[in-house]
Amino acid sequence: MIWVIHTLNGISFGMLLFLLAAGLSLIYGLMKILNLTHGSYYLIGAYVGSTIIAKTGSFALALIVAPLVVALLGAVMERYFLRRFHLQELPQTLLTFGFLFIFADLMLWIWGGDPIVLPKPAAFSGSISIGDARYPTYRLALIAVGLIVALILWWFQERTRLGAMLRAGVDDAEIAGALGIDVSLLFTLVFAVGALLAALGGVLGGPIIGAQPGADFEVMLLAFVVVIVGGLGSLRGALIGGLLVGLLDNFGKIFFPELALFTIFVPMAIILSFRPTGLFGRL
Amino acid sequence: MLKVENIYTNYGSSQVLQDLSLEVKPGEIVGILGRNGVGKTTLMRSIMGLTPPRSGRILFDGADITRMAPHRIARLGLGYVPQGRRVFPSLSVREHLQVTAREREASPWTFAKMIELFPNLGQRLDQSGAKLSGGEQQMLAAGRALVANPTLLLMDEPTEGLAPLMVRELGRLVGALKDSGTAVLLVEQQLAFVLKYADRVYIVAKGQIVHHCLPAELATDSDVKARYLGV
Ligand SMILES: Nc1ncnc2c1ncn2[C@@H]1O[C@H](COP(=O)(O)OP(=O)(O)OP(=O)(O)O)[C@@H](O)[C@H]1O
Ligand SMILES: [Mg+2]
Repeated sequence: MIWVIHTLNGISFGMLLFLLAAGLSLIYGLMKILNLTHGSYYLIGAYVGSTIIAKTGSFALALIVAPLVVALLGAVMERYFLRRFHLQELPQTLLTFGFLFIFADLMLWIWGGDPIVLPKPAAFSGSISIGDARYPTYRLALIAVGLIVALILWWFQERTRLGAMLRAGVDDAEIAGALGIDVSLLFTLVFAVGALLAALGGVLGGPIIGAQPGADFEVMLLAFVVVIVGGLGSLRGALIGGLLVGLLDNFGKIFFPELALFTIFVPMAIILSFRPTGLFGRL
Repeated sequence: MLKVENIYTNYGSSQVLQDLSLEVKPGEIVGILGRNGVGKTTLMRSIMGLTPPRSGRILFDGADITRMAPHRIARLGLGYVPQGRRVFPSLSVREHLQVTAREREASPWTFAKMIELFPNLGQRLDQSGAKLSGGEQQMLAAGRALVANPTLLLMDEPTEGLAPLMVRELGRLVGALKDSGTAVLLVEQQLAFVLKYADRVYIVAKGQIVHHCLPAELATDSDVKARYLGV
């Protein structure tokens, strides 16, 4: 039974990683920007969510408003800063690195240095029996939300015209533009959606991981591993990679507690030596 | 309809186009000939806004498009069929023909019309663009540009690497374009193809227009052919 519980823990954490990695992967796929601010979106989402819950007591409101606030932040970053350095990878990456520090300081200033754990929503604060053990319903809800988001993203990408434009842009942004697709609008959209998903992960992860200085960097590192393992530019890669890293992280901590990140990076190196572009990557 | 006036285009420090001017009138098929590396693709990229010229002007239907964003230029009615086709591997044939579609008043080019014109594509609607043969990819690259209903289509070496049968297919397309009144700026290395379909011909060498004539004149001008085209 304990295995079922560990597996569920790994999967629910994997869903959080998927939310982070999906945006990271799409942003890289379309714009070739390595967005080092992505972990900050996650943490800002968690902090803003905690403030909304503290003021209104509504988890649902936090889950809607915090991601929208962060989406706006992402859109502004893209439109007014990154855009100036279109296709210049080094300046863009350095710029996102700078934002990482600016946001970290701002968060420290506003929310302080003590860890904050968001309260679970009332409807999912209990637990259910799995065999002879109890398992928190919140984590199960988290898995469900992750799957629903994955489904929506898949539908959007594969079944809508905007999704097809996005894929065309990822394949060949230059030609997509020359055929009349407003690629610069896609850039802003993808940045906003990527930030939104990361912040959604921040609010959802708040009750189990919490928010504290440094978490931005930690989750970003894990999200990068997910994207590298799953393949840059691939949503499916972000989902499978997220689950894989979530499970590895969880079981690694149980079997080799003293080795921490080792259990993630060794499998990553092995996968990359067989598939240099990641499991589902083409780039 | 298209006026290129004294453009200079460079990639970094290497100057490619120098004081190049040309014109395309409504409904005309204009051929551009020239050897490898003389700047034909750079000319197309300059017109589309992908590599904007450093100086000079490009006018399309009277509007200055010299430094306009490519998607704006495309929406004014310029279609682009790039060299090497560059179809989208993650898009199916159907999506290629839908994603850029735009209706205009006259709108002769619809999804249905493209499939009628290229039955091969109609049988592969759900396949990835990357899985098609070279000839089919060329038709697809033309099709996705046409469904936006451009009034001028830029085609960069469409016959490159195609089997003779496919070259004939492509000729059929250029004929249909002419009949529908769509102008074409046709970059080619296959002299015969240009001689057959073009109304006028420009020859490019070292980034400049060095000769301008009618196809019939070029056909018999062995001096110009030898000097600029190596035939
Ligand atoms: N992206 C680029 N960066 C730097 N130089 C380039 C670039 N693209 C082309 N060139 C150079 O510019 C010159 C003109 O190239 P262009 O592709 O326009 O020629 P072309 O006439 O289309 O040749 P081809 O018949 O082989 O297609 C060549 O010398 C080429 O090496
Ligand atoms: Mg060329």
